[in-house]
Amino acid sequence: MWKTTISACRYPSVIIAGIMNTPDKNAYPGKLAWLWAMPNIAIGLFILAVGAFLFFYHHQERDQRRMGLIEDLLWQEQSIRQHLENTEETLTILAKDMMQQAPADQRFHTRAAFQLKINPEIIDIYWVDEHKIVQWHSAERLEPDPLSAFSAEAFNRAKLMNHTVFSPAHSDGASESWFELHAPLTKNRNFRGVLVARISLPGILKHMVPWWFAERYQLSIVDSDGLVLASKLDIPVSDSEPSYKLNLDPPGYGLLLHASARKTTGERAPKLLEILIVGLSLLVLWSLWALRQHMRHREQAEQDLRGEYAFRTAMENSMATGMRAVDMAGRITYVNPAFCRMVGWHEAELVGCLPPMPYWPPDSQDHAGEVFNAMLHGEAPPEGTERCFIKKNGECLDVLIQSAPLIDAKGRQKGWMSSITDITERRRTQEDLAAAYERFVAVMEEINAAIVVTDAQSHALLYANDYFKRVFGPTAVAEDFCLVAPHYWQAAAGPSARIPADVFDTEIHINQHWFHVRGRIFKWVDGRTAHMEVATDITERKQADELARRQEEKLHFTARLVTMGEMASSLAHELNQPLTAIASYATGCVNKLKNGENAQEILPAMEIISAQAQRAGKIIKNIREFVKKSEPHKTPVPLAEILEETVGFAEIEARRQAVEIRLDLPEAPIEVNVDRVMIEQVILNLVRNGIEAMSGQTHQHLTLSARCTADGFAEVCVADNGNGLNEEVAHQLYTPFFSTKPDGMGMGLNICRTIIEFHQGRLWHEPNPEGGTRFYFTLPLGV
Amino acid sequence: MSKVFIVDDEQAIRDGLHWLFESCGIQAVTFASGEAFLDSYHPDLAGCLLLDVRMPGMTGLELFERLQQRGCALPVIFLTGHGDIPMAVAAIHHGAVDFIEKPASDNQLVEKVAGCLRQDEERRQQMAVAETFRARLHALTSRELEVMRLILAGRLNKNIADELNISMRTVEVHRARVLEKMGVNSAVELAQALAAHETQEQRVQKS
Repeated sequence: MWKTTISACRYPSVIIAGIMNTPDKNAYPGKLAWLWAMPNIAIGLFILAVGAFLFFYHHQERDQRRMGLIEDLLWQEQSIRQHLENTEETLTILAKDMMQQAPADQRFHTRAAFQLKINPEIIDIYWVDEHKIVQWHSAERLEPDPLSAFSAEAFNRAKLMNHTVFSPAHSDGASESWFELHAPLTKNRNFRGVLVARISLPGILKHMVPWWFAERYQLSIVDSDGLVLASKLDIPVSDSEPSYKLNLDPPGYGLLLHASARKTTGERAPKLLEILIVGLSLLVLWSLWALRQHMRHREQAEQDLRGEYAFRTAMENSMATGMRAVDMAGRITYVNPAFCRMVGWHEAELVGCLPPMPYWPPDSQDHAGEVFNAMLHGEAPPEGTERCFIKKNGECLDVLIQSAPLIDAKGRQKGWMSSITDITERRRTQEDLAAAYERFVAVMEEINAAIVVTDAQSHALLYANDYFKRVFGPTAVAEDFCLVAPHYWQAAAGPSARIPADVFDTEIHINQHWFHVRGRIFKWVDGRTAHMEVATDITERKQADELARRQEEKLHFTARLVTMGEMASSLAHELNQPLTAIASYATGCVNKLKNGENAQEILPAMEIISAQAQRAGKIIKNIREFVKKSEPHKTPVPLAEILEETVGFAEIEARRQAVEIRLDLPEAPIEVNVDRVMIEQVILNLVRNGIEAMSGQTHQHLTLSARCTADGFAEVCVADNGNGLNEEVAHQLYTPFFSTKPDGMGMGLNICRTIIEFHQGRLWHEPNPEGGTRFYFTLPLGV
Repeated sequence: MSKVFIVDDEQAIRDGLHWLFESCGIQAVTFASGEAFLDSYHPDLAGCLLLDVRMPGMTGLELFERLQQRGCALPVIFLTGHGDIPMAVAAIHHGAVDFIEKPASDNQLVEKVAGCLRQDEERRQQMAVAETFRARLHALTSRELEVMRLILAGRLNKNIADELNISMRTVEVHRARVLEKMGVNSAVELAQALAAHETQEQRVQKS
């Protein structure tokens, strides 16, 4: 941790030295560009100059060669022309001589043969008479007659001009091409034919071009159409080499002498030099490029460095943590703005300070000094020390100081770098948090409800308050269950039942206590889904509610029974009064008569007795009238409806006692003509009796069944599996005011029987063969 | 003269009971309510109380409690109707003598009342004896009390004289005056009377 801090602080000092004198950032690229332009331009100009030099050198050389070529070619042409002129003269002389001597003279033959021999380019000499018939020729291979067309044209010209003429060149299409020299033959001014010398063009080149010429140039003879008629040493030459054409006259007719310079081996050295120059230029360019790349990298690195420095500076300035560096003697060498802000002293005031520091609390200077010296000796704890600083304005400040050695570039320790964190706020927050936590704990522990938090998946206990532990004991905590799971849902829905995942609000019965449990799913502090339950002990309220409910139920469902019971009770009281009076008077009278008193004396008492008896009778009469007024209202009702409704009423009680009520009804509906409310009361009474009779039993079920009897009655049976009735109880069952219940009035069954009998039915009971008792009653079927 | 005090809200019952007790020679006084009885109550009343449990206003039990608070020692019999039996039982636990269920049969009620009257008479006589004795003790001077204590401790006159530093003659005079004031003839009688009185006092204190 501190390492990064240290590097962040040491870095700027390194950079500051290098960067401080750098000119303005904007000027830098301009100068760089200019610096870069100089070598670029110089090298560009140098390469341009070398290129120009090479071009001019080439050009000059080419011109020189061309001039040489023209000179040589002119010489060659002159040489050929002179030779041909000689040949023309020779042939003219030969033709003259031939006319002066006999044409077929042996001497002519010899001279002709001689001419052929000395002029190897002449391939034939022949004589054509005035009729264009070849009379003789030196070479066997040529056909004598008739004269070919191009020869005939020259023949005619020679005859006409009476002078030696050249024919145009002719090619046989193969390797041979030639032209002819026609010398007219005149004898005595009469035209006697021509003497023809056929001269081979390849022969001319072969015999008249010297070796040095052939070595330097490619020489060929082309006609006016550009067709090559002959060439010397036919080796192809490149078109780039200089060439020159010259008319070859004689023979004329547009024949051209064409010479092209050959490449000479002597040019290799300058070529190499050229290659070297080009190569070196490329090397210079490449090195320039490489240098440029390198410079670019450096530039980039510098830019990065500047960015990094700016970043570090910004970081240092924006950092909330104070930084302070001291040298080995304890003198402050550096403080960052955050530290200055923290202590309220200016940087200039702090740098150079020696202990005691101005921000040390005056009352604990010694302690501060000890801590500081411990830091200087490297004995400060790595987790930092908490200290109190005094601001310039006197305020107190809690700080956490962490120190680390300050190492310079050479690896030597220069001092100590400390980071100072203002923990005043943090400490206050911590204290607030602790206070909040204490409050929370106090509330949670003092609250009058069990609070438990379990993991929604694993049901692992996450939190339980004291109340929970107290009420549900260490077992509950050890077993890691959430309140509801094992006790209620499992009991109610079987062990495989799933605990409802979401919010629920229910009441459960645990350890003889009723708890109202509200549960819901929420996110626990660590983010997992947890299940919180708040269980409030509502036993007292529940009991009060239960009592109120029972009373209300009593009022609600047994209104008439209560009325009847009350009536009976008040009847007893009402009747007691006259009876007591009667009894008192009567006994008194008996006593007086026994004492032998006069009958006259007891007369008033007897009258009172009579009046009191009448009063009793009146009371009875009133009751009869009351009973008459509350006569039942009979209507046809489906028996099933009555039974189902009654079971609905009784179910609350049954569930509390864990009694299962079974309803066994025939498929065919039974309709009875009864006062519905009264019969419901009878059934409810019987069901309640049954439930109470089974209390304490392990397996409790109550069966209600109905059937039609053969004599036109509906028979209802309420069977319990309780303890049954002993004989004494069974005997007194319908006696008024007899009750087996501690708070019973003893009116229930009695009234039930009255009601049933009123309906012309019958109420009786039998022991249940399966244990317990069966109560039966019959009701008339509806019409 | 002992009387039976009847408290019942019902006129017919009051009259009937009055008639019944009169027929047996017992004087009866009737009251229509508990309040009426409390108004005329004073500690010298002798006889017994017959209280109806169920009355409008102050019930029989409430009246009983009030009387106990006033230190009334009269025996009490409750008259109960149906369903008041647990109440009556509770009353007996608090010191009532008995309860009778209405309607009472034959002379059961009369017999019980007569028993109570006898009991009350006895109690009153005992109270009277104790009161007389207490008055006599009160009349003794301190010197006479000292002498009496020593006599009861079985000392001879001579010893008493030595102890009290008085003459034999004076002792004899004191002795004679003690016996006279206490209404006894001998030291033995004096001892018996004192023992009986202490027993009585203890019983009273206990109750």
